[in-house]
Amino acid sequence: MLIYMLKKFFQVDNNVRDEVVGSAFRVVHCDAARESFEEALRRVEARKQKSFRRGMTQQIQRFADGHRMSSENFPREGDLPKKANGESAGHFHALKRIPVRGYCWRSERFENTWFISHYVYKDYQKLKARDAERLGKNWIRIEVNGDER
Amino acid sequence: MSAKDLFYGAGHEFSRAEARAYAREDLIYNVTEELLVQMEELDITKQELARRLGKSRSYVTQLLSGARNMTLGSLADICFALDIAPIRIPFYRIGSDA
Repeated sequence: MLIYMLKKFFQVDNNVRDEVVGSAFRVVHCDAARESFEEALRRVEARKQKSFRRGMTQQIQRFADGHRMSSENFPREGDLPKKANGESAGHFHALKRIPVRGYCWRSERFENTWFISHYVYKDYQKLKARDAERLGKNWIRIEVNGDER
Repeated sequence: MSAKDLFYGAGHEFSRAEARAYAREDLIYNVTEELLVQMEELDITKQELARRLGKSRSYVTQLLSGARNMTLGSLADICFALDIAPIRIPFYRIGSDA
């Protein structure tokens, strides 16, 4: 009974967190990240949407299981905000499935955890300042202020 | 939870056709991603691979993006051109331990 109750508890907990637990990493979707995926997906050509959902699912599972990712499909996209002491906090990446990107970073606060800040439909070349800002806000909220997602 | 549960909802029942499409794309994605990783490790560009294969760069791009169907023959040719080989191609029963 206790095991059942614990299982139920963690199931609910995982659903709330929107996270994928692979054999190497926990990949957590930040607040509203899943919604941004659905928004980005709606802009993909209708006949390709199912394939896109499958593709992003497979990409995140591979990533969570700790298999190496190519820089073509997992490029470094930009710098994280500076730490309080002025040191660099490193950079963030994109889970890339043209034209959708999921911006993410590896947590220093939570062990073996990556956070996906949000997704965008990216039909332009350069990273937009607003996307770096959105990711930066999520990074501060989680890494500095200790929010869980 | 798995990525599948996250993006489809836990307990989502895939139709036979959906499950087949998923399995097909999963294999294509993982094989092409492994090849891209190997190329990066070997510092071989798509242009160079195209040259070694005697094909165009766009042919290589299409194969490695999954846009063009990769036959076992073309996979073997790519491996030969990169001087690599898969350790083995294992099969297992779905639902049992891999």
